Amino acid sequence: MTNCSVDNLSIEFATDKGTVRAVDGVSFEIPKGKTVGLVGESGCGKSVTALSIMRLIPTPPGHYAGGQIHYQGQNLLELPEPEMRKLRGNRISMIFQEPMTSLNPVFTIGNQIAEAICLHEKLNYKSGLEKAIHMLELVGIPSPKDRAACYPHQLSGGMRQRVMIAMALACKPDLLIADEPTTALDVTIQAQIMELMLQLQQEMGMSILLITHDLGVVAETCDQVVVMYAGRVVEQADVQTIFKHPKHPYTVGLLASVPGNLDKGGGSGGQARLQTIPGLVPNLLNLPQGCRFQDRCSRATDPCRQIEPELTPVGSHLFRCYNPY
Amino acid sequence: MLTITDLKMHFQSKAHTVRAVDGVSFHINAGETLGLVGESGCGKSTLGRCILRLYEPTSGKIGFQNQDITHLSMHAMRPIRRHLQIIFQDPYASLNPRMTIGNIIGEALQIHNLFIEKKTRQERIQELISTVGLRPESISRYPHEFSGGQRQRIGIARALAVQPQFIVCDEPVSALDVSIQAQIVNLLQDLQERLKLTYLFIAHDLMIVKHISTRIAVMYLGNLAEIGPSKELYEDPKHPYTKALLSAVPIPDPTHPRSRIKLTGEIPSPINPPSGCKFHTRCPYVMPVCSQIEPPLTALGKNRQVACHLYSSG
Ligand SMILES: Nc1ncnc2c1ncn2[C@@H]1O[C@H](COP(=O)(O)OP(=O)(O)OP(=O)(O)O)[C@@H](O)[C@H]1O
Ligand SMILES: Nc1ncnc2c1ncn2[C@@H]1O[C@H](COP(=O)(O)OP(=O)(O)OP(=O)(O)O)[C@@H](O)[C@H]1O
Ligand SMILES: [Mg+2]
Ligand SMILES: [Mg+2]
Repeated sequence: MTNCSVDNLSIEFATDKGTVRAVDGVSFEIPKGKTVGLVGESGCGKSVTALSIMRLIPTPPGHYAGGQIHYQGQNLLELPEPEMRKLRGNRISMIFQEPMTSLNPVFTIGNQIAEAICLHEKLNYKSGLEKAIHMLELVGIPSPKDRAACYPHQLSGGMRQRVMIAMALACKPDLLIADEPTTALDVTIQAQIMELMLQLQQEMGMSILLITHDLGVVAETCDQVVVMYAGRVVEQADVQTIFKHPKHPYTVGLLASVPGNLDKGGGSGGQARLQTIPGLVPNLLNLPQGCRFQDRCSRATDPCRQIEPELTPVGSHLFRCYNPY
Repeated sequence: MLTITDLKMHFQSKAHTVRAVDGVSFHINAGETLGLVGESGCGKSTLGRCILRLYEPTSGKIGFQNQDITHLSMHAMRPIRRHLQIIFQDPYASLNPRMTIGNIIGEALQIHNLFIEKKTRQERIQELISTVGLRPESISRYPHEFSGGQRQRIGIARALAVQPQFIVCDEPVSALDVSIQAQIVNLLQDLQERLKLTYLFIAHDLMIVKHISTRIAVMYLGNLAEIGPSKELYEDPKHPYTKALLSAVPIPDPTHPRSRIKLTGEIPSPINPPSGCKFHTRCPYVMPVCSQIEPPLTALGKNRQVACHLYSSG
């Protein structure tokens, strides 16, 4: 069953150099109780996609240029703001990529989580704060009571990130959008947080959209994977297929860049170099004709430089390429 | 190149003291990369900031190129500061939102009176922007127009601007996707060879740390648990915390079976650290002595050191 579906979504930003289409005709579904991973090169539109599900794109300069986002039968892009506010942070909640910019520096973290809880649940402040402390404990913050009285700047990067996670999970959302939720965390705490998220998922059927560049985390937690490049979905399949039989050259390059695959030279502290995808992402203001990956692709042929390939299904595996692996 | 001795950094507040760094000693040789890993909140960033004198350490010594810089005045620090740079963990918070990328990088040059002539400064900025793989037109754009990963590259360009000798890289690639991570890691390595740079490389991604580091230091709650050459440490971790850490690395293969050492027990706090070995509350190999006596960092073989009673003879 689908909990949330993004249909042909396009988002534009007005800049002084022209209009940037950061997300261009993106579609995918997030089934109930499942985790969908969203991966892709920095700047390809992952956060913008996530923010638009929350309807948090700043407009202007942003602009919902097309498409729909369905959540439990309603199109979120047409929902009046007061209705949206009731969903946000309650039924749909988000862990933001940059914790420092989404925490208020002048309030203690206990206060901020408690406020968020009280806003959506009929609790008095004292019980809200108790629940906040409990949430801090769940995300592995030691001395949660003392820490609740801290201000954001007094915490380490990873602690701030866990505060954001505690806040997002406090109201037991039905759809969780997690934008790089564990990048600032060490692997033991990362494992603990992912386990907590999966546990809530099992208990309550929560759906998760997980944005991460850690392909290890993707392999361990996602059911489906969506790969984006320069505002487009370029490949989409279940997690096994993406890792075992990637089709799109960008996905193949991405998987090859993981340092884990490089035991031969690693650890020498010097000579060995990681495999990379040469070149730069195209300028969104000046996209090439044809496939957006052509300049960096070793398989590019003439058709690639003329008409952009469609996202084509082979069974449940979708990819946008004329010369797939 | 850099020596720190029994460095402590305690944050005092009305209610409590946070022992963020609690007696750390190590050295970094010129041209090498020391990887620094450890649990979130164990004091890695604080240690990095102490080295740059962004914090005034509570006690201990910091030596840079045979000079004790622990208590140098702002003025005396000035010529040295140029050689000590940092790439921050939180790319957004560290960039002034009202300045263009060109100005952000240019400011670093201005502070240290480098590339004074307008044209050469502009060229230097362009060169840095292309070095870190941003598009040339980025120079006139503002931080909010960039994605998280792009902002991190701006931070790297800024740190490189003044041609430092030593860079604290505080999770420089955490915010980047793997293909760009790989580019930046390669870039840092190339720059290291070309410019003879020395790095303290703080990161959570243990595969990246392994890849880039000559030696690795593992920190737990303000102290060093273990330090040694990167390859040896990965192949044969000694400290139980290092073992747990390595077993938790997620593997990019959905069919790979996992055997993770689960750490049970409450995560201790630097406000009120456990007695004896700080790891004893979660250690699978805990012995009676562990809660009583703090194990010193002792040599194990030629170039490794570990702070654990399992390895103290007797
Ligand atoms: N307010 C804005 N004004 C102009 N352009 C913007 C704005 N916000 C985002 N963009 C552009 O939209 C594109 C997508 O950005 P987004 O933050 O979604 O990237 P991302 O995929 O999340 O990258 P990362 O992995 O680095 O976080 C980028 O090219 C960015 O420059
Ligand atoms: N300015 C400050 N005031 C009070 N406490 C602080 C301050 N800065 C850091 N701390 C505390 O010092 C401890 C170590 O923080 P630090 O930022 O060094 O951790 P870290 O190892 O870098 O963690 P992370 O991996 O999460 O970034 C934490 O308990 C933190 O709360
Ligand atoms: Mg993002
Ligand atoms: Mg840190």
